[in-house]
Amino acid sequence: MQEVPDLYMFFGRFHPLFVHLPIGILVFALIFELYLRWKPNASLHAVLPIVWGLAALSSVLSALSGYILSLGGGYNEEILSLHKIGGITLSILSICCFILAFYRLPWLASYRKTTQKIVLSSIAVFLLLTGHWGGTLTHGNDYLMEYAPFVQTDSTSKLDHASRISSLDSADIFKDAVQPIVQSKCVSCHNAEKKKGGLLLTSYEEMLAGGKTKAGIIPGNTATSEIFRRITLPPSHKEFMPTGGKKPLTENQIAILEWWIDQGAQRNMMISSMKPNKHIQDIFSDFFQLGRDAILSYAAKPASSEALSDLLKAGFQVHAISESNNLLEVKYSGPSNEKINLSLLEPIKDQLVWLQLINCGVTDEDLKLIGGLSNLYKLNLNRNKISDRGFNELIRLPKVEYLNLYGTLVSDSAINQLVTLPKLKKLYVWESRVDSLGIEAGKRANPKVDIVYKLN
Amino acid sequence: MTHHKHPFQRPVSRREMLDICKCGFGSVAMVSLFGSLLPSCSNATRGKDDLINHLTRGSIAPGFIPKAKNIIFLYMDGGVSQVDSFDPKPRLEKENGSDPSSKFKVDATQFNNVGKILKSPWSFSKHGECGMDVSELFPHIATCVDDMALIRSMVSNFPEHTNANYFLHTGSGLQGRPSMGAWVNYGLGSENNNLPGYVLLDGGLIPPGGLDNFKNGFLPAAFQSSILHTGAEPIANIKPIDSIAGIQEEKLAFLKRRDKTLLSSLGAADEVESAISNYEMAYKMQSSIPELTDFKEESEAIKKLYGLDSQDPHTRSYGAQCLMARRLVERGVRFIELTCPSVGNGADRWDQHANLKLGHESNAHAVDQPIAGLLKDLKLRGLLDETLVVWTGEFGRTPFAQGDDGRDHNPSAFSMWMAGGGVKGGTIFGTTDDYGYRVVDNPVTIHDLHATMLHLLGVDHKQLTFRFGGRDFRLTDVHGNVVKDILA
Repeated sequence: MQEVPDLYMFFGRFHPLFVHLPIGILVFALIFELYLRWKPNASLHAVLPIVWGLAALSSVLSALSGYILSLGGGYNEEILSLHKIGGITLSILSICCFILAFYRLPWLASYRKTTQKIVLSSIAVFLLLTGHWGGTLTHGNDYLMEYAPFVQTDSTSKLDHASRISSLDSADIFKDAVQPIVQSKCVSCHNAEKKKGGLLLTSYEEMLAGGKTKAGIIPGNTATSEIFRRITLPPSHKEFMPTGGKKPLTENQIAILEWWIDQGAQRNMMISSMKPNKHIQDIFSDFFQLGRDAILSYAAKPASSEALSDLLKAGFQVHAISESNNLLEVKYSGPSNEKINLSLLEPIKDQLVWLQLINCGVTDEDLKLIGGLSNLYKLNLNRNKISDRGFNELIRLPKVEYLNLYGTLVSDSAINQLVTLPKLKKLYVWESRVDSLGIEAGKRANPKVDIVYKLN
Repeated sequence: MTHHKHPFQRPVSRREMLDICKCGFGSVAMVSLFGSLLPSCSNATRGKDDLINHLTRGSIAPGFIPKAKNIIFLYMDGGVSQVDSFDPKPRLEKENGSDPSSKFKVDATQFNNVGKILKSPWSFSKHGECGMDVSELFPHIATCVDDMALIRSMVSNFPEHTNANYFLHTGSGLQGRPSMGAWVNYGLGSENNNLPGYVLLDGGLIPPGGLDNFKNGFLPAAFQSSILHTGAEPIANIKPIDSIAGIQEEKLAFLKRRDKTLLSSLGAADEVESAISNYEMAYKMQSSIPELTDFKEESEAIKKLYGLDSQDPHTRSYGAQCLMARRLVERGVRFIELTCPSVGNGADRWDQHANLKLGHESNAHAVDQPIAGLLKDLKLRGLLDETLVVWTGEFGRTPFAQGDDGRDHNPSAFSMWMAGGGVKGGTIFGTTDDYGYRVVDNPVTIHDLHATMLHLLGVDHKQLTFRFGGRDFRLTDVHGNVVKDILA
């Protein structure tokens, strides 16, 4: 790498700022030219030289700053040279257009239309390509297509490794834990295309080798492992990684890397054979999402605001149960004299996971609708006059874990039905028509359900 | 003031800053935590608009799904003796009467009247499927142990009531910080527009440190506790004085018009807006409070469960408060704290520097049956799944006597328990030494307790911050680890 004077580099760093000017101006100029071909207009024509002049000036400025920035190194050479050629070509073409527009050269008049066609279409093509190469240099190869629909992406990049691990005994420390963490948090900058700081993090050897400054990881020594030092600095520190406002590693991720390094940074080893203590086991369980509640794997699109405002106007309480998954709790607590309009719940069927309709005149008829709210995990219908006829509708709920029917007319025969709900864990039937025989039968039918029906 | 004439040049006034903080930072923090309605923006339509905005906008930061939605904090004022309640120590029996300083290093105590090692006057027995040891003091609570997670390794930073109370309630030993109930409401908002989100059920004893244990500190004033007293009139003037229907409404409407006129001439003025919303809340409470405190819809069996038929007036009084706590939970009040009744007999609070036997027995008798009743009632109604019940004092007591029949303060070890939403019932966590004097394994600090409580409510204690005096404050300051071992 060449030594670049600081002042140059300072100018070079403006490249990401300048670079958007020619993009905008060139797109504008192209549209402008097309419009003039469609509807020639002399007074608008007079503006053309100014537009092309600005385009040329900003292109040259971008190309110059880009060239200086590239001297700093750390980019994929192949894409960099493509980007460089594209940028220079665009600058030259813009200057050509400026000259064509400004000097209306007489000897060119006969070729004018053809020349213009060629120049304008090459500008369009080069603009697209150069922009794409530039984006690849900054954001990495798979940035553009990572979340594109219908494209099969590398499974590790989306962190769905967790679903593949069903117990700690089947997890490998590097392949299943360390590499996915590094993949998700570090590789977007430290890959073959970008190689920031000369550091590659796409393989085990590269992680140990490190980058320009120091070795990346020293097995058994977190204190001298540069990668570990960088990720555990205060986020405001200028050497903190990941930089540039990207999501930092979570506490669990750091703890896993720390433990891995302390244990000798093994390349192939089952986690269970490394004798993790209780605390580390818990961290891994969290990381692999073992034994967690089913609801945590469910998320929905945001509910429509009309549906929500209709619910609020009708007197329902609506609460988001957490910020990240768009799931909702709806509550209506009586006593209520008016018949509540449950059909308002249908538009938020996907989001509705907890429903509490308490002492508010829900009838057997209403349960048809409630039985169709297939994403309910928790359903509380206490103190409504509903009977066995209605409860049959609830058998359709595939996810429900908590069912509260105290103070209803539920009887023994319904209990037998309800305990067959596939996910049911808790059933509340105090002050109903059940008796201890019915409860016993229910418990025999499904011992996994905890049935609460009287004081103990 | 002159600066009102130059709207584009004047600096932000303190009042406006407060206003911005109230609905600005507050909503931002809240959205990122839970996305529910901020009660300080309590103007109904505005609140609903906010809610819609919160619910439909994209995610800002990951909150997580709560295990509990409400907290009932059973505060055992004065400090229950751990070695007489939940942490049996056979060695005290063996060495009863010997000099403690010959056995272990004795720290300075409040009164430094160190007596002999004192065995527990009560015997312990194992209860429930988990086999938790509970002393004779709590025969009713002992029947609920399979729903409780006991922590025997609590430590506090302060050996004296006032500081220890502030520490327990606000996470700081000094006066003036926001109470945990205020933090919870700041973070999560209230589910009920007709009741305040943080209610203090005053059993008769306001703890040392006074009402500053229950204040909002630097958080907006709407988050401080509202106090409900025992007896016929829980809040002053809760019954309308005007006998003719409609008169009060007209008066209030007139008052509101006048306030609005004043408000329009002042611009943004937090005090006037707060006054308007206070009047509105007070009016709503005239109907919501009598409905809340009227137990006529409660069956006799339930009243009995809480000990409302007890011979002991203090049991009846605390039982009514526990029943009220359940009714508040049903109405969506986020944070409810119960203070202890004044049991008399020269044994106020659990603070038995002398006469341990009588004092602890009177206090235990007042709270034991009501607390067990509360746990059982919550469980029957399916509410224990979403309510966290916390039972704790501010510190513990010494295993050796003060004088010859009391125990002095001991912040180095005490027992507390939690039950309900997200708690692994039947857990026993942490250990003390053979005398129950110090923690030897898994110490749990007050900050850890706060972090765990917030965690169960779906709040990361490190994300719940409020900027004041130039820095971000948290309930847990720079401390706190969630006690994962007691979580289900």
